[in-house]
Amino acid sequence: MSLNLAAAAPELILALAALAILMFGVLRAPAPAYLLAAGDKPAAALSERRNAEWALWFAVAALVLAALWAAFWAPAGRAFSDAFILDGLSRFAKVAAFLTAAAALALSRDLMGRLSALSYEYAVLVVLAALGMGMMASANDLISLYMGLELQSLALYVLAALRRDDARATEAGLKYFVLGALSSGLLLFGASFVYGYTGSVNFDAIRAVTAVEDGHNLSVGLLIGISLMACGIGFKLSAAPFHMWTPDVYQGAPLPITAFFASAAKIAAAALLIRLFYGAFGDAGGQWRDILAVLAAASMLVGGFGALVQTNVVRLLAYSSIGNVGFALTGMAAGTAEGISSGLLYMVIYAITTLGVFAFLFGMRRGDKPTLAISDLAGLARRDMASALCLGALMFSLAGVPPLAGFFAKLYAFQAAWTAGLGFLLVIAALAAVVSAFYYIRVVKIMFFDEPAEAFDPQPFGQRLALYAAAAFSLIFVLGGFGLPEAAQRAATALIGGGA
Amino acid sequence: MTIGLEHYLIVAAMLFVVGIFGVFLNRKNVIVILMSIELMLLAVNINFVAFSTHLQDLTGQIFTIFVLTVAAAEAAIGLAILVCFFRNRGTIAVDDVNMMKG
Repeated sequence: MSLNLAAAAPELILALAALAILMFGVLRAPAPAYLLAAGDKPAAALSERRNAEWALWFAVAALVLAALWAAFWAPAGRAFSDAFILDGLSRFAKVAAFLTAAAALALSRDLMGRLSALSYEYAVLVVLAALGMGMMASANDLISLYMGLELQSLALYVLAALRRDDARATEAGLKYFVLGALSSGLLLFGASFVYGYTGSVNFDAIRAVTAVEDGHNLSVGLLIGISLMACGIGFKLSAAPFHMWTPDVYQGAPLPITAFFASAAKIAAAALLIRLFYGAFGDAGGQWRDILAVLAAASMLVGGFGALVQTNVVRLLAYSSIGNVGFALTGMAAGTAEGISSGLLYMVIYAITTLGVFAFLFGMRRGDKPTLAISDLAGLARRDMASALCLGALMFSLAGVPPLAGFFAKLYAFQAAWTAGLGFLLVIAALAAVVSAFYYIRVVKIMFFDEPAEAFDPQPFGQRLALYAAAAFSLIFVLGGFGLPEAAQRAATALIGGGA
Repeated sequence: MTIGLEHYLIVAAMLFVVGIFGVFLNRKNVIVILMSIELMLLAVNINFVAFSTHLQDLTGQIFTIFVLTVAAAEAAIGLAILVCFFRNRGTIAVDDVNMMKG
């Protein structure tokens, strides 16, 4: 019961970095445009751009440092009078979320510059969102859970509408805001019931109450609370039937920010779900496993069938993310340590794969205009074989074709669900996997066998590198999985096995 | 008749449902949606304070203070995004939030 700041060091690094970037940006900002003579304006714009790039690289460095700190140097333990916990689960989720955030940020430099949306505020907001994600993964009571979630969400709302002169981006921001605030309200209403019927906001105390008779005979109020919280988290994860914001927000927000939503934010939301259900309600598994199973089934079906009619690559990826969250939830509905590790592993593999796809999407531009129809990919193989092969590998990985990384992600998830006796869910999962394989493979077919469309603008080296790296990751994963399955397992035993 | 915990919970639940309906059924104005969201959060606050008094435990009231603070920040961000939206589109009618579909 003490402050124990050392356990929260990664978050402190991010908080200080956000403040430092803010100070840097404000102090170094050139005079506002209306005070400048016309001749000075280009120089001012240039220095603003340079400040923004410095801020961006500083933010990337801070995120990587925070990830390293969370992985190696922060001592496990509790901080802030039990409101914050650093254990294997939060370590794993933080490293994954911070590193994917850093990757998304570093990749976005070129495109954000082209969209003239590169400003130091962008870096600050991403760091603050990552800080919220760290808090979500480490929350050990309802208040810190809520504060972490809101810190992340508020930063993400602004990020979605970052291009404030763009009608689509502001519409995406508005939709995201309204539905996100609604989901926070649902979550919070559920939290109030959980507090009222357990008498505490602390997860350990809640667990002690819900453990009575293996979770049977829970009061109705507590059940309402658990269900409402599941709905709220379902929104954040974009699980069906709470998915309706996803395609619009993905399409409307600037692409680099969509990549951030699809990678780091998903990992953090999954960590939050695990922390809450396996941690606080861990001994009442019978009460929430069915909720997760229903969310999983609905998401897989919506993701599978919704994507069939899409013509825009980003909307396709949005439905793909809904479907993939469904597959991850299939594992997480198991309620066992395997369920946790398979869910974490799934989200990490999905985040890396999808970041690779987005790195390619950043470069789908002709004459500096985005061209994001699926038909624009036609004949890519004849224009740019390396990219087509890598993108093909990523598509097969998303579809779950062996021996790519995505296959193992699905395998572990299905295994966890099978040993937990969720046979019916697995039937739906198999059906959805077949349907979604169709549209992934259709993309491959369009790339390799259709008449070539016009070539894209040349892509910056960093984006190509990210695409190649993601493809290499999904190809080489079969040779030991980079230690990821073991790391996910350690994270799971931290929560269920009782160790730290 | 004494007023007990359940009365507060019923009032809060009614306010919360009014808020949800306000978000989904309202077809006029985005500002009304922001107000509905605020209503939902206030319903949550009533819940927390009622439980807090009932349990003789201050944590619920502290939670309420946090919720109030976050609600203020949320309203600020929501209105800021709405102002940007209005500048681009010249309208804040809910039916006009429709550039992307499918």
